[in-house]
Order: sequence, then structure tokens, then C-alpha cells
Amino acid sequence: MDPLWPISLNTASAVIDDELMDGITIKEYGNISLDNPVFVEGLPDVGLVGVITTSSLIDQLNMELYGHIESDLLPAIMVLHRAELLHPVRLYASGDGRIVLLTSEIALMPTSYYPLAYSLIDWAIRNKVSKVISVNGYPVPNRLDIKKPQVFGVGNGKDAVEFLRKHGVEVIEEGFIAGFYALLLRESKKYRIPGLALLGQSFPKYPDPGAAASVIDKLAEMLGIDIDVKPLLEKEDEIKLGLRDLMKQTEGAMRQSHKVIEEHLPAMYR
Amino acid sequence: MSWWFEDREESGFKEGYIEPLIEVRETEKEIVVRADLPFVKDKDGVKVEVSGDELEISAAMGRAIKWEKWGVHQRRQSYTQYRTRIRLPTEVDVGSARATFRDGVLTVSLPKKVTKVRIGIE
Repeated sequence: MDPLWPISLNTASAVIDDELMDGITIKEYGNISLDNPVFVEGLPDVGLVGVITTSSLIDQLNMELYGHIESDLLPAIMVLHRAELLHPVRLYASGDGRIVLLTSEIALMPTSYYPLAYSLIDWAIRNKVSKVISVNGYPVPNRLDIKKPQVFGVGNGKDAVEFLRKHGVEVIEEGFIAGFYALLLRESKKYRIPGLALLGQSFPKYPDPGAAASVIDKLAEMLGIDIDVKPLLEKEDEIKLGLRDLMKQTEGAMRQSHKVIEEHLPAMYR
Repeated sequence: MSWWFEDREESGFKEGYIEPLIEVRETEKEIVVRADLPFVKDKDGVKVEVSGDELEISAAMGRAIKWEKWGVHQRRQSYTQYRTRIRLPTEVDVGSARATFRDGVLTVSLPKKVTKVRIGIE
């Protein structure tokens, strides 16, 4: 039995109950053969760090459009780029099939989180994803005083925590995490896929390219790839202004997903 | 939608301004308002006015922002400033208000008006 895959599975059928994935379809275009990919999730959240990070990866790694998410749980929105009609929630893959990422140009409502998380983990199992990595911001009130944001980590098990520490990431030991990435970590843990989150100290309610740059540096080191963050930092103002509307949408979604609890102390504090 | 491109008669604001992203935090003693102002380079271009329970912020960008191909209404629009008016959750002591501008972020600290009175117990 493959040590990474303790679950014996029929790759032709869903691993997770169809009812749980209700309404979510992951459409793959079949243009790239995947090779035990790392799956990077960068949906809109704190500081839009995930969106900025995945945009940089798409750009610098020349990643190709690999698929999209279809669902009646998503808003009735399509996006136009260079006159091409695109789904707003999309998958991109590297040419060698070793990295697949998920990004979005719209804020997702919390009603879609559960079925989307189940669908993505089902997809991850069927495609033998080696690791699930969420890239996100960690809201800090004193972000203005921080010149170079630190990256913190959350791991879904001992192996993931060790992996984070091996790469010099300070692991969050106590606290809450909330939002889509919390669900993704929960489900990846259930099906024993190594899963982790990289969280850059970030403005809570503004797009934060500086936080994204710190996250990109760490992610690139972990994946063994070269990403130059200078172009990102040089275009900081343009990115902040360009993502302004998405940040406003995302703020509404974050309120509904109880994001504020990340600032609270758990009851069983040790 | 807050990419204004026509006159707003009720406020007298002119076309070509953007509402900035705003964060409002309230503590027991003060209200702190933060505005993200990309492309505003120094405090000279920023104006902050407060009266009672209302805060007005305007700021000139260091350059005009233009979109050539965006949508229909916003096409070939040019934006050169930020403007916003915020209703505060409570009245503030305007004389003690302070503002700083650093790294493109405006922070306005507004101490609350003291309205608490201690009642003696008979």
C-alpha cells in the first residue's frame, strides 16, 4: 500500500459522499497531467493574501488555466478578461503537473464553504495530492508598525507541524482559525492528507501585498521554486487599489464566517 | 458602487473620486478610523474634518488613475482623489482629535465625548 495513501480507493468514483458535495462541480480541462501535485488554496480572505499570492504564482510560473468550479451556490457572476468569458473561481496548474492552485475573483459566501471543501478533498484524494497548503493573512492590529510581516503556520497533524518547523515557520499553538481554510484543514486531516496553512501578518481589511510577499517567500522555499517578490512590492499601490472592490466583498463574507473569533482566546487555554 | 463618476448633488462632491477602504475600531475611550490611501504620497495631500459624529476625509492621489477598457460606464474615467464621509457611532471631542499618515494609511484617533456622570447612592 502506498504509504501516503492509506485509503484504498476507486479513482473512478467519488470518495466522499455525493450529498456532502451537493451542488459543487470541479471541471477539469484535461490539458495537463497531474503528478502528485501540491494543492495551494488562495481564496479571498484576510488581506486578500491568498489571491495576491496565487496571482503571483500564476504569473511567474506561467501556470495554465486547468479548470473551474461550477455551482448554484456561487453568485451568478462571470468575469471578462481580454473579451474572454471566464468562471470567477478557477484552478491553475504548472506545466509539470506538480502544483495546482485555486483562486477566485469574487468573494465566496460561507454557504458554499462546506460542499466546496468536501469536493476539493475528494478531488485531492482522487488526484493523489501530496499536500494541501492554504495561503492567507493573519489579522494583526499593529500591522502599520511591522516592516516585514512574519509568516505563521498551522498544521493538520504532527507531520505537517514538523514540516512547518523544519522550514523555520513559527507554528500557532493556541487559538482559533476560521473561514474556508479552517474547513480545508479539517477535511484534509480526516482523510490523512498532510495539510498546512501559511498565514502572513496582515491588515485585517485592506489588500496587503507586503504580507503576500512574506508568504510567497516561504511557500517558494517549501516548494523549491524561484519566485521574485520585487515586482509585487513595486506595484503595491496598484494592487491595493485594483483589489479594493474584492476586499469590500470579502469583508462581508468574513463577517458571516465568524472571522473575528481568530482574535479570541480559546476557553481551554493551556 | 463607490467609483463615482457623476456629480452628487446632495454632497457637492465632484466626479472622479474614489471612496477609500475604511476600518473603524471603537474602544471604551475613543474611536479609531483608518483609511487605506494607495497612491497618496504624503500628508500634505490629505484633509481630515470632524464635527460632532461625522468624519470627512479627502486626499489627492499622486497621479491620476485611469481605466480604458473597464465595463461600460467606467470606461475612460479618470480618478484623482479619495473622498468619504463617515457617520461615527457616537459623538466625539473634536478638539482632542489627532491624525497621522504613514505608509499610505491615515489613522484618525477621536476621543469620545465624556457623557458619563457618577450618581451617588442614597
